[in-house]
Amino acid sequence: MPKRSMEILTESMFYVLMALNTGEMCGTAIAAFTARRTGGRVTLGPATLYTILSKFEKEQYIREVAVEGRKRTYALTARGAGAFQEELERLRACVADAGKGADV
Amino acid sequence: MKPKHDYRLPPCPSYDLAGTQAWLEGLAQKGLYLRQDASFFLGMGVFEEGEAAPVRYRLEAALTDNSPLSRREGPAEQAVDLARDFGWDFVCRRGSFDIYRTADPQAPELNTDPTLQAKSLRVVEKRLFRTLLSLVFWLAADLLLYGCAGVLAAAIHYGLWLPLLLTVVLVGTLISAAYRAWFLSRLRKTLQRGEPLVPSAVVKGRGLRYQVCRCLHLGALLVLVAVYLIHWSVGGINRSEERSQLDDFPGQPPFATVADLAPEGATLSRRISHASRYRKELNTFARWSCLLAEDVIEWEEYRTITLPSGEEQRAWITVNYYRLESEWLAKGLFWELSLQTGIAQRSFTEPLELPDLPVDDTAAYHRFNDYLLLREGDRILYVQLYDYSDLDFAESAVIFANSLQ
Repeated sequence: MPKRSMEILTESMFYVLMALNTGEMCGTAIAAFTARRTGGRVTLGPATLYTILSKFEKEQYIREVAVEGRKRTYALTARGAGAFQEELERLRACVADAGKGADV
Repeated sequence: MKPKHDYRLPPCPSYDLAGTQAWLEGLAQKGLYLRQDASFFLGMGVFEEGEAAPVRYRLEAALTDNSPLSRREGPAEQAVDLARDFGWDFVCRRGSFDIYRTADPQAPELNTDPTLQAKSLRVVEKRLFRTLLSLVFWLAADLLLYGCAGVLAAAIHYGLWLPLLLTVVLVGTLISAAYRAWFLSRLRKTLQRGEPLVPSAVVKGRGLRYQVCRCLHLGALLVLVAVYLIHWSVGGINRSEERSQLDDFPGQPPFATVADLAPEGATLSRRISHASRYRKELNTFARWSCLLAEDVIEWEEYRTITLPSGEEQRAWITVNYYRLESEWLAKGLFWELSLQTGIAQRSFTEPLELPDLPVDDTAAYHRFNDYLLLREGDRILYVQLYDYSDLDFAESAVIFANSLQ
């Protein structure tokens, strides 16, 4: 059975969850965190970020915790934290698989 | 001083993201900037003059509904705010896409995740699919409507251009929507593969073709609305407004009337003894000609016949007379009218026996009332004898057939 769209996290989605896993953040802070953490390899544009944030809000992965003027701050929910951990485990498994070499 | 406005027709449709971006960026380098919050008027972009500068434009699939009632709403406030924080300004919406602009070369790209961008396009695709379905429904309804009424009959009674134009506009819109769906699907797949978007219309110089198609489509739509309005205002759709009293008919009608059906020595009066006296069309006629028929008469007559014996009979008929432009058109109309009868035969209609009549084609059936259909050369007579009448159907059929000689 094909996976639902939210079951597959893109790299951008994963970094948004990673950023919010470190604490509450607004959109620009999430983008800055991602750029810093990846050394500029992954950047988040506003349209991409908005798409991710609205999807995550809809799926209750995140929730809005404060609005100051244009600035909206988000926090990770337990569901979002679970999704992040699950994806992290999957990626770790992938890396571990790759480390086993060709003899397996 | 108020900035000067300039109106430009885009060289490509809104869903050609790269094409639209290239067109807008090209104009910005000439000092023309898409006006903020100005919608595309009749498909044309409204521009303001300014200093020529390198500016980036990007299109984002509108996630909010862009139905006519809500299309002016634009993107969500949160999306606009977030874009502004990154140096992008929302300019306006075109079709199903929101246009953003930045003059800051350091501003990150609006979309940095092609997979997510492709998913946003899927939302537009789904919306388009719904439009396609509704178009197919309306086209089917249109064809069914004219098919049931008969294409020739509808063209003669309601005008040739109206059904034709409506069908052309519907088919054109359907083809355009199908092409849009195909284009969007291709675009989405390109994004999913991580390939760059190519401005097809601008690069390949197909802008003129798009503009011509767009103008034709828009023109056809405007003509359709105009034709409808004209028909409405002159009562062309409802001929009851242009009916005259039977006494005002110039000369003799080219078919038998109640006077011919009445027995010799009988007298006719207009005394009406039932509720149909309130029928607006009673004892009136409408006459017109069109491209397909040089003479069309709708005739409805009610008379009280007093026989020499003093006995009274009622006669109530409606006659549709057509003199078509050619015999093959008459054959077509006869076939169409017979077909309707044929369809009805399966439900409420029973065929009626007819004596040998001196005409080319005949058909007769009963459905609440008696119906007679005759064709002689390029002429057709479609008669309805109401059950309320005391007229004999077979005798009347002979008289009607002879009147066509």
